[in-house]
Amino acid sequence: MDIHRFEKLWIAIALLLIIGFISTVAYGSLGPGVKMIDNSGGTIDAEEVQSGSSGTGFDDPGVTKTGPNEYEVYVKAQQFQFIPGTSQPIEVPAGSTVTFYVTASDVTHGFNIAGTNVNTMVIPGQVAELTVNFEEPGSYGIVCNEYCGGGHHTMEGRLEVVPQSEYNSTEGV
Amino acid sequence: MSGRSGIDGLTRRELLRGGAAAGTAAAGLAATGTATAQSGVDFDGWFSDVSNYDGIVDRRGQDEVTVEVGVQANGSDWGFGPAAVRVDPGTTVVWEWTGRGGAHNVVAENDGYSSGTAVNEAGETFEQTFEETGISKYFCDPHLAVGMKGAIVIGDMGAGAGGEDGGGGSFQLSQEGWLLAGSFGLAVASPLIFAAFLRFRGRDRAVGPSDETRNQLKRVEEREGPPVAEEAPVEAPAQEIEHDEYDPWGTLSLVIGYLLLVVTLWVFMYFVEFLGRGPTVIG
Repeated sequence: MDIHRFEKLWIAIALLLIIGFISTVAYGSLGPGVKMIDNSGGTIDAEEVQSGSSGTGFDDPGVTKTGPNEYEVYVKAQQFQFIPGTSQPIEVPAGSTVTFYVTASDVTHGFNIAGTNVNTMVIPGQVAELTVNFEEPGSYGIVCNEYCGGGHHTMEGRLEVVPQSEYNSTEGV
Repeated sequence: MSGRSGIDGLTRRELLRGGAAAGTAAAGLAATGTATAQSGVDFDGWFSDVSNYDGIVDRRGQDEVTVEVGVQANGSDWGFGPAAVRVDPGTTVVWEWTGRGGAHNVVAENDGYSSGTAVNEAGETFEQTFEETGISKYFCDPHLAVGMKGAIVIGDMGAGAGGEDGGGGSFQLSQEGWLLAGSFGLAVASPLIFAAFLRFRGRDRAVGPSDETRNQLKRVEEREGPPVAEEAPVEAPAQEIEHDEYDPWGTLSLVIGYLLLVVTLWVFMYFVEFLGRGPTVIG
């Protein structure tokens, strides 16, 4: 079959483009270390989360320090609030590595730190585990991005990344 | 209902609400009016989206009144039971959590009291003493959007006047009801009126097919058949246009152009929009 040399050229260009796309994703995971949220958080009984008898961090959700500059945040999502997050903001220091454990006690919710890639579905019975580095102080909104009922549009929270010097671990919910 | 003064006072919302009560628009509006007349208190639409509001429950004569937090309402256990309570001045209202419907709290609309963070433990209580007469509206913060709202009516306001108000009100409301029922009746009758109009207009005209149709029918009857249209003659083209020679450079420049566009979008999307937006999930 005779293929015109120009046609050969743009087939080669299209292949290069595909290789480019794949290498970008590879760079994302090897360079900046972007990860997918998987099932590493494990499962949990949603009714025990609801009643506060799960025997995990969800019974008293909030921020705990687990090491130098390392924090764990347990967040319970339920209609129509994040606990903590909605009534009082989640507070973490800048320059820290924070692991969020998020689960729902009633229906499926979403957990998205608005304007960032920190975003996960929150499914009752499953724990979403995600680790995030917060380098700079700042204030972020948290939104639920899975329709969860009549008050879904009011379901939001706040995350405050405060400077190290101002962070008081006892205040951290 | 502030629209007592007449039809002008009938708000759009009330009209819609009345209209929503199926075909019996008048009956629906009259029913709304009766409920308002009985309670005699203007909540200014506070209970318009509260499914378990069923008039004001009279608890006067008690020092302490209990309101349950988290009763069956608004599609789940998202209600205060009862939603509206009438108490004497100086009464302490105790809200008691049922532990159902997730975490709730009690937040005053205007009066400053709040139970704080929403909790879902059964048996949790919050109390507030009401000294001054008036209406104190409150809600549950997480479930405000679905209609978890309540009100405390302190004192006798609007309670005694129920009878007189009911009489006057029902007369006025039936007038508004007549307006709705009349519009509805007119809407149903309009096709009939239009049919009558057409009939009346067509009375003087000749009935049956037009002259043209009559001629056609006559021709068909006389076996002449319908008139035959003549086809236009086929003409030779004035100018023939040849196919262009295949020009790969045009296609190549298009391919390069799209490539540049795709590469630009790809770089912006991944490196600027995705990686460039602050914290990201790293584990």
